[in-house]
Amino acid sequence: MILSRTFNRVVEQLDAVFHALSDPTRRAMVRTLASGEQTVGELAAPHPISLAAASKHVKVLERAGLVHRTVHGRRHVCRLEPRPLAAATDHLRFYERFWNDRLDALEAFVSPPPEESP
Amino acid sequence: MTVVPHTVTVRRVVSATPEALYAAWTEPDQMRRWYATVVDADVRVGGRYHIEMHEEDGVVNGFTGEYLALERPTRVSFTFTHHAQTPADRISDETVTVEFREVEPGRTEVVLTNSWTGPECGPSDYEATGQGWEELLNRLEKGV
Repeated sequence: MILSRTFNRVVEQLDAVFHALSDPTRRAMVRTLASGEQTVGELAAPHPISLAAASKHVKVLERAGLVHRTVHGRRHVCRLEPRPLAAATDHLRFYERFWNDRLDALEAFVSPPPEESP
Repeated sequence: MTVVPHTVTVRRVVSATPEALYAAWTEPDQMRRWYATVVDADVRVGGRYHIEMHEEDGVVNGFTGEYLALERPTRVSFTFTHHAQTPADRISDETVTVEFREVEPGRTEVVLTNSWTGPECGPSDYEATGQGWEELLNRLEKGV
């Protein structure tokens, strides 16, 4: 198993994602957002938390790259950014990249590109 | 999480003969020039190897394994275990098989297959559906 050790940046992103999703309130927010855009107020409504606390949770999700927030006047509209999790879960891609990098090196070794003539 | 079989296959047509490619994969002097930084290999069926790939970002990936098949000049197969792998990763039976098929004189297709048994990976199309998110979060909840 190579992937998580080779692709450090992905691991860092994964850590942020896992941290963001380690909290049940934030997981519930992500679930809600999976069905469509919501304002911070709407996200807070089902939970016994203040708007300020909800906003903090949204910030953690934003930092993990999971949520994008757009400000329309006083309305803060959140939507889900699916890419970080798709990348984090698609382990097989990383293996493909690992081996494709090796084949690049193999190709350069066995058939070096012809020298360009001046 | 259940343990399932995984296979990754990459293919490449290279301007070289199967013989040259077989040598590149089986002669340590050549392997050091493209495959891995450190190559210590007893290249015979049942022989063991240790390699280290020093990546550009400073990460060192070490692998050990055993040669399963050496069929000059068409096929090389070996087991493949990462140095940091522990039983907690629940990865087993990891193998790499490389096949060389000449498609025209001096042009050879390299087909590399990396297989193992291990924890289920997520499908790539999570972004398409909320359903996928739901499943992923359920899994995370069980796993965290």
